[in-house]
Amino acid sequence: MTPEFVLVWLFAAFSIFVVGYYVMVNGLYAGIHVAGLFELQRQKREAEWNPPYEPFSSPFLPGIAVVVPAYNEAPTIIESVQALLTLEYSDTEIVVVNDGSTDGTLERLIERYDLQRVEATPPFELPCEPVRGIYRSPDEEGLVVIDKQNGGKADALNAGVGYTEKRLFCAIDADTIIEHGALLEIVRPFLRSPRRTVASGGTIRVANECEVEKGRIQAVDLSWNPLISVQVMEYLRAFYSGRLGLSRLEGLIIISGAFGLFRTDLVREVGGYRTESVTEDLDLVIAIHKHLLERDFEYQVTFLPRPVAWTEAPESLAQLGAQRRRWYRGLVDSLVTYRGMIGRRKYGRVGTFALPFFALAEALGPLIEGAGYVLIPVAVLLGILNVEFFLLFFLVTSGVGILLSWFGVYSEVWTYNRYERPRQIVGLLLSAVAENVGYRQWKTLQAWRGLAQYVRGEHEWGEMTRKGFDVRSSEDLEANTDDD
Amino acid sequence: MPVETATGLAEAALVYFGVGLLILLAAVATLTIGRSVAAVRPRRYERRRYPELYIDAYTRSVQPDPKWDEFVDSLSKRDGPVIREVLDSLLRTLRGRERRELQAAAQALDINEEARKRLRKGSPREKRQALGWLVLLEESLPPTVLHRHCRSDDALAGGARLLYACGHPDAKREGTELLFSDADQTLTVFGEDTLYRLHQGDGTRLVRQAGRRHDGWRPAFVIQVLTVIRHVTPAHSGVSLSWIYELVESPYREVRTAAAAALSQYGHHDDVRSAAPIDRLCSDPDAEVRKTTYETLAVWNDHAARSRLATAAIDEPDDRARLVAVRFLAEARSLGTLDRSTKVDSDLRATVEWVRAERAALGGTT
Repeated sequence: MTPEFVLVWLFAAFSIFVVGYYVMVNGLYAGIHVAGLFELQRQKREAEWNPPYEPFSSPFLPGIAVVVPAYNEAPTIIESVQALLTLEYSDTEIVVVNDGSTDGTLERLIERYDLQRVEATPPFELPCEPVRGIYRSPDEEGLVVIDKQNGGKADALNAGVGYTEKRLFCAIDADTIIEHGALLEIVRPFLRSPRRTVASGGTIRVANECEVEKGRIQAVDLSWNPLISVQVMEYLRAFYSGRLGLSRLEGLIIISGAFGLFRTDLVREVGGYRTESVTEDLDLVIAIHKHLLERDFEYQVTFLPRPVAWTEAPESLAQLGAQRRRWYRGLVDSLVTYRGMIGRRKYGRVGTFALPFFALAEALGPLIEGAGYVLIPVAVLLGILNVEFFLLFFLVTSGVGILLSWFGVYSEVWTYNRYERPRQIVGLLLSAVAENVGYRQWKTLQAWRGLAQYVRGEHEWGEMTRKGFDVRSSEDLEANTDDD
Repeated sequence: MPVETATGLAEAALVYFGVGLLILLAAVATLTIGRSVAAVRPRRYERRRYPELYIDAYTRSVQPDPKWDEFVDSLSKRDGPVIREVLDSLLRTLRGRERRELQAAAQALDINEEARKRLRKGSPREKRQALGWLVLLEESLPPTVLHRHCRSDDALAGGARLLYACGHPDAKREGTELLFSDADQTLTVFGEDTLYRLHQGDGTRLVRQAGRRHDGWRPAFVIQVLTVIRHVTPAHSGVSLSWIYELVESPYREVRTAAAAALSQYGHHDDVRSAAPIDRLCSDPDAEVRKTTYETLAVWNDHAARSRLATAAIDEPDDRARLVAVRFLAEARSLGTLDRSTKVDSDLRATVEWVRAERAALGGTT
């Protein structure tokens, strides 16, 4: 046996493994997408039912605390809070947690809302870094500001969850714009099955290029910056297909940290958000599943495509790379933390399907793909690559990726149609091509780098510079503040 | 099999798969773009017509002679879904004469007949939608028809709501029967609200019925009914609440919590105040049960209740439950009781200070 012979056989074995792996993973993705389409149809029908009563005057409507962790959010914080205070829901409390900001976030809030410090120490424990002060507003009774030392997003959320007495809490990001009626939409599963529902997640959409006025989306547009438009496409696919499908299959293990509704007592029971995790949203949902499945509870965790929160997506490759590396690190960390659940029937579909799927497809997938991109040039150099076969395989895999993404665009057109103009839809379809040829390969590199960071034990979040949605309207609000 | 043959076969398979994929991609792209283009004009039309029809329908509803037949004749086929949306929205917000006029408009459009037909012959989803319309239009139907055609939890709640909305003389009994007949024994919040509206003015029948039947219910259903009892007007004196008192011994903490809450409206019933197992509830091992009991005592708000709350605040080991007790004492201006007590420890002192500071920050009195 010559070394060349061994190499050829090794390469052939790897190729067979890759093809087999590819068929299996894409089969699973396709299955989830089909389940997602069925779920979308069900939810579209469910949304048609608007019971003939006034939920806002019902004593059974659950109260919701909107918990807003804020770290250096001075450019957008007033606009965000103002929009939250006018949300269409009758029983809300807005809990802003200033997580040791250094850019004047707290000062802006104090000035705008005439906040008064509660001159006493809370008589209950807040499971977070030391609290420097709690502020209330005589004008806005539903607004609470907790000022604490910096401890990260999970720690800030824990402060809010620990503080509120509302039955449910909605975790959002400070730069998130929740649509005016979205709280009433996201609470629907809790109204439909008040005893069974423990968490529900809404859809996140990309707000860059959208027209925003006083914290509300006025007009939806698609950015022609390819880095933004591929993210728009990515979000559409992830939410319309991935989360809907997993929700249908009772394996939803992620509710976006930018817009999710949870039972407060339950989150306290599981110990709140794990501060060591850099993807605390994923981590919390898995912890909830674990807690309830171990106690044989009947429950549901649901994803809803209709309620929407808009967020600012990273506009530079460096920021996007940092975000994706963090997501990857967080995924690996959660899979390692909850490894005892993987493959065990005791943990239902979460243990037997969702977690193994995330491990195989989302964690291992980019690594295997990335390894392939390294091995291919080596094989070319050694003259053992069948170039024709490789090109065909690459085209087919990219084609399948594009098809799955286009299902996401089709779902959008079929249902909620936020991108109303056909040219926007064409733009999205083209973005799906870019997403699978170029962007996807770049993401495999970020996955490898994320893995290296995880192995090195890095826990940094990375900072994202906010430019704010609409500078003009922020200035208007500032002017109003001065008038006040 | 030689490597070359295997590769050749794999290549051929990939080519065939690729061709199929291309066809699929072309189909999905065409369908997506086509659908997007096709949706543009109807959407524009609906956006233009909705405010026009809204104003027209509302304006007519306040006129002495709305001329609904003339209005219906002026509508095009494309206006059908839009006018339904308009009427749905207006009927949910308007009351009195305007509402009655808009119901007449819906009748002129045959929405009521359509809904009756769908209730009889439609799918479960259509039945649910039909009941929604019948409630908005207050189209009375006999309870026997509702019992026959309502099966799902939404339909059962819709049927009960219809009896309530139409003021059926036997709405309480028949509506409650509908709501209690759900095979899964669950209520949506719409169902809870409907049960509440049926018994809002007098909870006697609900308390009696629940007392007779709760043994056969799942704990979750017991909790829901107790939650409704908490909000309705109390049952007449003499109606036994002993079954609620017994539930404070339930192994389920949520049942005990709901039982404690259900007693909150009975503060002016001397018999309940003396018989209710408040001591048992105040010493419950679960803090949530104790907290809810303090809320009940706060609603009762008589001298004995305030005194019990003060004792509870002193003895309470749980921070949040203690806070509830102290907050209510502050609202009742009874914090002085604690100030005078010699048993105030540092935890209770911190709670009192917090409640005072919180009220001051909100601009209230301490």
